[in-house]
Amino acid sequence: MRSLGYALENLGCALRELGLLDEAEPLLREALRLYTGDPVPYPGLVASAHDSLGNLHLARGDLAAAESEHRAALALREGDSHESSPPVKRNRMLLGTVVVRRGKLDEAEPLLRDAVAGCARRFRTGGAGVCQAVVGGPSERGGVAREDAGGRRPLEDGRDLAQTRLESVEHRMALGVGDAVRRDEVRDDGVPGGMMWLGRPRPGGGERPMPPKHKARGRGNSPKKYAVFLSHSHKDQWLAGVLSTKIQARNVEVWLDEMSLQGGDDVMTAVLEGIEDANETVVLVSHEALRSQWVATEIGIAKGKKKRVTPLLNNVDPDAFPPLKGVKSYELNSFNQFLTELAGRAKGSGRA
Amino acid sequence: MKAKAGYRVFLSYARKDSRSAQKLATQIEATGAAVFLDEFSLEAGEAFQAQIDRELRGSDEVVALVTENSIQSRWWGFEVGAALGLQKRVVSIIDGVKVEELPPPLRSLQSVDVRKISGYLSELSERVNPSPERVK
Repeated sequence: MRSLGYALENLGCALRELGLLDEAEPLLREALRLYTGDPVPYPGLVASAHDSLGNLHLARGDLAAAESEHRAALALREGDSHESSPPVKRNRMLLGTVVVRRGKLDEAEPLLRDAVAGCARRFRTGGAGVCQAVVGGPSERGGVAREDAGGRRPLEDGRDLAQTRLESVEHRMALGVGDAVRRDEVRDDGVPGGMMWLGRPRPGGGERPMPPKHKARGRGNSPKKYAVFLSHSHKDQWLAGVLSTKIQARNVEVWLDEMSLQGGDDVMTAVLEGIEDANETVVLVSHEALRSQWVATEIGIAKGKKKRVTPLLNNVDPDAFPPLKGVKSYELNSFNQFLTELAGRAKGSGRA
Repeated sequence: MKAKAGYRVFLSYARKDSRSAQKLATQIEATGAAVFLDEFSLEAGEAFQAQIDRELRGSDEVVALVTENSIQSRWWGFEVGAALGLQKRVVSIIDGVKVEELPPPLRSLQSVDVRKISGYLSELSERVNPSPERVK
């Protein structure tokens, strides 16, 4: 049932992004029903369906309904995860961007600030302008955009990057600001918590977390940590989570790609940047992963970028994925050996 | 063919589609671009793989022929990924597959229905033979 839920949610989100809101809604509701009816419901999934519905309401302009869905999602995630976990932060951001539009500035501000402070630098891009501008109120919008984008990259370039449907002033601003931020400030910005999260950037750019306008307190010049991009099939999500925890325990950051669950145009951009930014890529090769076109694509990207790629074999033959033939791989049972070598590389890079 | 130092197109396709790939290659060559035909196959030896790697790196644009056959292949995903990792322009020419059947990574790429190929070819032709005022 869960996989049917994924499919419905994906399709629902895709339809929503195409503007087919009435067609999207029943699918998203059905996904929510399936996730909720799971014998052992997984709160993250239920929350995800609530968020997807919230974004649908937002697309319709029904802010009250959007608020209630994002609120439900946040409650679930807060009950399920550590307070500062990336999904919780992302959810605060989603809720924050909605309540701010409902005029509840007092509630919005801490939500957005928290999201900003805790999010991966991947997201310190497009959303910056929007979130900050919104917090600052209408009178500051133009000012923020000009200030941040001015002289670095004209907004027209941002518009090229955007799809034509990104028409609103906010979106164009966000792209202009985002790019400036990305190139000039984000690279050396420390990420609190040591955990990086690749979620789904919103196609409109308007709901991404954002960086503080000035560099994060006292962390601005800290060097980036050694980082690993962990490619896996979403069906191996749990195992991937366990592996990332172990990698993080060696003081190495992990980009855990959770996007195979979700659709969206910017997913590819986020994956490309995630692999680019990580020092190496680890592929959890399982029977599921061998069926995943995403995993194949991610391996290709890593190879194209000349990154070290290490397959971790979960009960599959070392040569099961032809493009990885001859690449040094590890059985999951020897994961500790890989960790030791990884920690050595991290140390050698001076970024551990 | 025509332009030795000219525009190079890497054409990726599944073996079962060689006939349509040949046709597509001819159409692409007519714009003046050079085409490298890569019939991806599981049996490709290492020397051939090295050549593919070289050609992919040296290409200006990657065209993926997307059919029922190719979307089943993980090689296809791998090659498209490698092209993206190399920051190549990737265009998928879609033959007989519905957009909703495409694997998710593909949906964000530029895609062209094979029946509307002439639009793509004239666009390609402008890239191959840039007129002076188009050069940025």
